[in-house]
Order: sequence, then C-alpha cells, then structure tokens
Amino acid sequence: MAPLIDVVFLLLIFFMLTFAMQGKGMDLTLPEGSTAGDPVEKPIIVKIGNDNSIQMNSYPVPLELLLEKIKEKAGDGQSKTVVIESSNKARYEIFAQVLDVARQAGIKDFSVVRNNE
Amino acid sequence: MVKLNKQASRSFSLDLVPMINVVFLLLIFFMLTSTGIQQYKDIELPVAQSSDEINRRNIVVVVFPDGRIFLDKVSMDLESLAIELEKELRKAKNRSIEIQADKDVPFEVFGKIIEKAQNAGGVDFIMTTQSD
Repeated sequence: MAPLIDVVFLLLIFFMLTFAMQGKGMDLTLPEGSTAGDPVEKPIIVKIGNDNSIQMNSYPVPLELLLEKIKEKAGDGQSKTVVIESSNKARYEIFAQVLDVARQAGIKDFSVVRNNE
Repeated sequence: MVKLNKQASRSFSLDLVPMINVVFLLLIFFMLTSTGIQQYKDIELPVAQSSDEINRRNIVVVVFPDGRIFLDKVSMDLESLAIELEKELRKAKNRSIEIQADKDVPFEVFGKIIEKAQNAGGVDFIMTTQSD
C-alpha cells in the first residue's frame, strides 16, 4: 500500500505544480500603439480627479451610481467605449473600481488617459 | 517454498519508513504551494466583482505601495522596464502583461507602466484583483 500512496502523492504534486496557478484579474485590452485613432462612436468619458472624485461626461457621479449611469448610456447603443481619464494623483484603487463597474455594465472597449493637471 | 514466520506477522510492528515518506511529501507540497500563492504579502490588491479566473502564464509586473516596480522579481525603474518588456514581448508574442499593483499606488505609476508597455508592443493587460 505504501508505495502506491507514494506514487499517487508524487503524481498529485506533479500535476498541481505543472498546471498554471489560478488567480483573479480583470482583462484590459487597449488599442494598439500610442497613437490610437478616434473612436467613431461617442465614448463615455469617466474622469477621476485629484481628490479621487468621479465624473461621467462632465457630471459628478458617485461610484455607487456609476453602474446605473453607464448601463443607461451603453444601453442606447450610442457608446460602447469607455474612456477612463484619471488624474496622476488619484489612487489606483479608484481606477480599478471604475474599470470593474464598467465591466459589470458590459463594456469591453476601454481607453486609458493619464491626466497631468 | 518460503515459510512465513507466523510469530513475526502476528506481533504488532509499525513500519515507519512509508509514513515518513508521505509526511515529507506533504511537507514539500505545502511549502511549495504556500510560497506560490502568498508571494507578496505587502501588496493589497484592489477588490473587483467582474474579475475572471486568469492563469498565471503572463509577464508579471508587480508594483508595491511605495512605487517600487518589479518585473519577474527583478527591481526596475520605468526606463529599464520598457527595455525588458520589449525583450519579453518579442520572445513570446501572445502573452498578456499582468499588473499586480497595490490599491494605494498613485495612478501615475500605473499609467506610466501601461504607456511604456504599449510602446513596447503590449496590448493585452490583466489587472490582478481579489474578491472581497
């Protein structure tokens, strides 16, 4: 019995190590090259300010309502692209949250702009 | 014909060697898996609900809360990161760049890494997150 258990454990370890370890993440596919062409459709522009505040198409929107607002905009078929324009001083977490919300709203195309102001 | 020693088989004897083998295997197994998962204790990843399962066959860029950048466990500044990323991307065309950044990193650092990576030819990014 013991040699069998030895072999089984070895096989178990072998397969667990060779298979890639799984983790969680958000896919972010950006347009190729640094000089991306203007999108044809009107994009949803989400701005993150110095103070981590969020604006959508120039209106302040709290994070809790952002999902609803993006769904509303994306639902009418006008815009499928979200441009996230974040201030240099904003926190990465806020950017991740905005991206998360937009992904929940079904958005697949993103542009990321770093704002120097 | 071999005669079995009835006296010996009846008396209680515990063979320790296979047990030690198994215990060592378990020890090695847990040592390897625990170091693999808890690689960076200092980094608190952002929480996201829309995240998918990803596999860990990507080019991994790690950003610590104080802004230090690591590519494949080697410390880098932005300039050397650009050069190394270009090399890595040329080696394997279709690999994604996985960014494991702490949630308190300023967006500037993340944005600059993305810009450097894009200039190096990177298109697919994965932002590593955790579920709450």
